[in-house]
Amino acid sequence: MQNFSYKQLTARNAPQLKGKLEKAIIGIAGCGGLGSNVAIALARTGIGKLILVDFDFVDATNLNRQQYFINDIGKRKVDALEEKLKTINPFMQVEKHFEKLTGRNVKIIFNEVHIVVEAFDKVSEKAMLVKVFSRNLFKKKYLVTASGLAGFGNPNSIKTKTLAKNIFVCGDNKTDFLVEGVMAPRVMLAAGHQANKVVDLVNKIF
Amino acid sequence: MKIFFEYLGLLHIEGIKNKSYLDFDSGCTVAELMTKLQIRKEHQKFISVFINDEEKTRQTILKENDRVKLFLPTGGG
Repeated sequence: MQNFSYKQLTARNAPQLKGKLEKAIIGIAGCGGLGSNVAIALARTGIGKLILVDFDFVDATNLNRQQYFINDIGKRKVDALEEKLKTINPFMQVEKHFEKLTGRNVKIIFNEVHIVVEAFDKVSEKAMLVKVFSRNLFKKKYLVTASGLAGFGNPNSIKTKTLAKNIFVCGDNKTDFLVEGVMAPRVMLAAGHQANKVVDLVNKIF
Repeated sequence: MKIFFEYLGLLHIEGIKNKSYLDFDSGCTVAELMTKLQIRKEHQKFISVFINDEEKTRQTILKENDRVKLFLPTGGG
């Protein structure tokens, strides 16, 4: 880390974000295709703290879209991802939860966050988070969810839309991974939308 | 009674144009709206309902000029 400072890391950032990103605490719900890509993008921006939640281990089938390498296979995703994040932005705090996020523990784990990135696979889990963020306790926090990032082609169908005052959805709202498969290019497009929306919200919050 | 209706995600509703005005009987609930639109039961439990940008339950009674948004996320992450 010779001659490496937070100031240098963020030197090329948009000037109006100065002093804002390091105050932000962002939850990453799921560290797979979306979550790992969003986390790395946010680490590069100079975000203050990430709270990573995932109960899974890296396997070989993850490598076509998730930010892991061959030597990560078998590791907990939260551990493998933290290692990478620290090599990009050692100034960022990382809190890890190796567990399944549920309607019961979500309010405890994400109590201090400003924004949560929903990066789950399953429809039921995505729907659970949307409901949590629609209720009183979490109405002052933001959720950036994803819907429709499967397959390949048609990059411009992936968009960021407003679902409610505090909930945004990124994706094409059509393609499903069980039907069309999931691959790095479109997953990264959707993750890019999510990370970009987070930065936009951080600019508004602080 | 007219409502503005929008749906996002996995929902595909035959014969209903997205982001359009629909005509329903007064006193219609969200649950009744879903039934009339023939939304599958297995989808209904994962649908989030927003009326005028506020999340509502399926028991909510719709009112004239409500802006109703149904969201059923597609899988993948």
